[in-house]
Amino acid sequence: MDPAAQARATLDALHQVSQLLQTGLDRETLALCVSLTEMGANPEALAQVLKELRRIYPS
Amino acid sequence: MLGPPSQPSAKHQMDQGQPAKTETNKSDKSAAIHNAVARLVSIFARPNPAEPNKTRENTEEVTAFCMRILSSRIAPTAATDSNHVVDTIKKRLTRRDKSLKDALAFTSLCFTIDNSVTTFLSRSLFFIGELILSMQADLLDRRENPLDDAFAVNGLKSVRAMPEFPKLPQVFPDASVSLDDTETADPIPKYSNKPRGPCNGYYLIANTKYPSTDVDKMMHPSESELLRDIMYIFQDIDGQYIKFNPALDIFVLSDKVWVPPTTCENLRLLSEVGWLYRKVKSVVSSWSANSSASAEAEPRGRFNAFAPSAAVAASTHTMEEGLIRQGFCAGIQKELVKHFELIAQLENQFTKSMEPVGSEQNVPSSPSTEFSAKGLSLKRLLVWIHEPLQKLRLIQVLVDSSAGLRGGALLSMVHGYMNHGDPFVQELVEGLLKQISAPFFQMLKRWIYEGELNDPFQEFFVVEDANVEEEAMWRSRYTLKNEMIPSFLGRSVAKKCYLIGKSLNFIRFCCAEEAFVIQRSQELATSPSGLLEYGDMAALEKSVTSAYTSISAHILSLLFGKYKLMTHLQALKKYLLLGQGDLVQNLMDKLGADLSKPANSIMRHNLAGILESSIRASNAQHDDPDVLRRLDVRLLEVSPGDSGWDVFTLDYRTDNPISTVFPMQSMHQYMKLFTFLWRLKRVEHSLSVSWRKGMTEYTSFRNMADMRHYFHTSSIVLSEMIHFTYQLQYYILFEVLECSWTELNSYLMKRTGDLDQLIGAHNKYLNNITSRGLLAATASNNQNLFSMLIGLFDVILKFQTSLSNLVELAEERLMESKQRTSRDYENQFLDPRLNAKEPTNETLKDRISAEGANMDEIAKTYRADLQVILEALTSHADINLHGLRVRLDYNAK
Repeated sequence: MDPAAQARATLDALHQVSQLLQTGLDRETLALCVSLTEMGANPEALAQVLKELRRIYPS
Repeated sequence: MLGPPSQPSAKHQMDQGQPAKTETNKSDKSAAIHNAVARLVSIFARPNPAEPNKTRENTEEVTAFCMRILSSRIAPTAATDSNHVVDTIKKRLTRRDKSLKDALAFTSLCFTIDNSVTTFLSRSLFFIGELILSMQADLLDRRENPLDDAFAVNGLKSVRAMPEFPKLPQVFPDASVSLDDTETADPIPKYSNKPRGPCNGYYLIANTKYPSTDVDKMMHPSESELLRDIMYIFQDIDGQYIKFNPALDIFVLSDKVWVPPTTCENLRLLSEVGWLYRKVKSVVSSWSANSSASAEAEPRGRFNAFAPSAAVAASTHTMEEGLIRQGFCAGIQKELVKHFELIAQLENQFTKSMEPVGSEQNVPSSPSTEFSAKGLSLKRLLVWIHEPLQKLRLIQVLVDSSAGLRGGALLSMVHGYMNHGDPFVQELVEGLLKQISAPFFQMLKRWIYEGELNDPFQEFFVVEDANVEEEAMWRSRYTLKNEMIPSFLGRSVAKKCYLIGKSLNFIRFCCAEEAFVIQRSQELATSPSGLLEYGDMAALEKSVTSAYTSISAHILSLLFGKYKLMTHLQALKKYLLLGQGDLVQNLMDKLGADLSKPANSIMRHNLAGILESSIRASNAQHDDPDVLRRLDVRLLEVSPGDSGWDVFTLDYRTDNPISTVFPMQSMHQYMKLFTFLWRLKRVEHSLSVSWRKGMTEYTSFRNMADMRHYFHTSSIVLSEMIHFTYQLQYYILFEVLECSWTELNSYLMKRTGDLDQLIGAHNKYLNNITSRGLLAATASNNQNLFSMLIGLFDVILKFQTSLSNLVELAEERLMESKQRTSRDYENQFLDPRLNAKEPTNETLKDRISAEGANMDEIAKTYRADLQVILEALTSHADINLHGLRVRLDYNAK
């Protein structure tokens, strides 16, 4: 399996997990979050960012 | 905070089109991060289709804000182990959904992720997990307090143990917005209708952000002034600077005032007392019938508001909510009085602190003299108020959760807090519970001592249906209402209490033994153990149990002694289940003629007359005259074509106390059994009549060559049938009736249990007979068996008719041949030509052969039917019936 397909599969799995947990994150957002943590962002801070964004832009 | 460089290929994939640069230096990397954050923001800031013009107005600012958060030092929580993250998620899923479906799905997903993980992802994977987890935790936090969650099993709302120091508001935007928006921004709307309380522990808003130039222009109230305001707030009175804002449901510090942030924090914490008091008071007074009146009665004076409202309100509580609610109100009012006492003391301290220094020596000397000499300060107040605050919190939670509850349910709710781990809470709840449960125990006392239900508001766990006749009193007059059983009483004790009261009423009204009840209630009321109140549950249970045992024993002794229950049971077995053989035999002999008539031409009184003469002719005449008086004939509903056999049944009348044991339903069962047994008896009786007849008369037919064959086969079939009926009777009599009776008898001899158990035992006895006597309609198989048996009886009866026809024909033939012989003899002397064959002879012969064929046909049907029954018995689930099958089989194959 090439790395790209593998990454996509992993992202799929993560997306399903996030749906199970009812986080309300879509694929795109999740992908961005993954890349941000890849770059070393602190996940808890990132969660805080997402919460804030949700608060600022209530859908 | 920036981690080691990640692999470019992965980044390319993950960023979905992010320029794939190799991050070699730091600036490139931070640019990439900034880029990613900006994209993230833009996803969120996508124009809402409803409001297209509200586009990305401040995305720049927001991005900057997000970057700030990211670069802040929010430390990762201790656990950075991916197993831990996975476990925690699993636990949450399990708790949310008991079916484990989600948890299983999650486990399999974890497996997928694990398999596909390559080096580049392995590190960040559990970071993502944690990210999801912390978002999830946040969602959970919004829905319910983690403590709520912990108590959710018992349904207890949590009482916060320590004053929480609220988290500082987020840097962005400002505090007041975050106060307003946390609720509306809730992504899960179904939780947003939760009762709105102050958010994040805020009970007071103060604007602390002013340009320093403004501060000088504003008022700077002294601490004592603020203290005075706080005191007012404690009593739900607006102060000079702090006022209640009903729209926000929160206290607001006036805009014109500036206080230092630390003081502001103290004020916030203190204002919770006022807020809680306000809540409790408003709810409690809304329960009062004329809350407005009591509110007016409350002096509006500042420090004099010393709870005269308690007495007024307690006396005027609304009647709709019931006595228990009134008790609850009274208990809370008492606690509120204590609150006012506290305020009075505080006020005392406060005035002391205002007094000139000279009077300070009057303060009673104690180790803390030098402290108290300083009087009151906000900090000190904060410490002193700690315990009362806890109390108020608890009361507020109680008041909140009591909404909509009444009677026993309310008691259960309050009692639930006895399970709280905090001894302080337990103590308080116990005190309250004593107060609240007083009316309940009053009712309980009346119920178990006198059997009287004094419950004007339907709060007790027993409900009376006054329309029920005395006949059905035991069964349906009183019902137990499970939701009204207070949890401290327990199901079993409540059931016993219910039975005690019911038994008392039964004794009083059905057994006409009022004197016993009155005497008992007097005895118990004077005895020391008769005191009922909340507290010693073990003693209560003990006294209830002993009362229950004694009252049940009394009822049983009444039934068995005064009302001769045993005699009636025996009579039912004797007469309705055909235990008295000679009477049945006699009846069968005498009734036979009458019952063969069509059902609608039968007169009940004729049958009753026959019954009476049969009784006199049999051993039944020595039975109790009371029993014989109750025995009667009853004709079931006549449907066209029925003969007397189908509608005749014996009846046994019971009256009140006894009829409780024999309700309509049981009597129907008895009658059904009687019909079946009577039918069987009839078949057996008529078979034996035919057999007897055959034995005496067939010899005279021996010489008729063409008829001998018929009588020979008929004898064989007849003996098969007799075998069948005898075996069936034997089975029903010994294996069903007597076995069940022994079972019942051995239970009755013990004289234990209560009336319900007695009725249960009797029902079990009847059901046993019905099911094992092939009569039960439980399984379809059984139902078939019953109808098959009835069908077989009919076949047997048909066979008999055919046989007796044949016998008649044979007699006719015999008579004729006798006549012919004598005529022949005479004719010898007359004209020999007359000695010709007579035509009647021919028709008679035809009739005989037709009847014979008919009989053979019936015999065939009988054998085929019996075979079906035997097969059904072989496959029957009840092992006892297999023995019956073997016995019924004539040839014992």
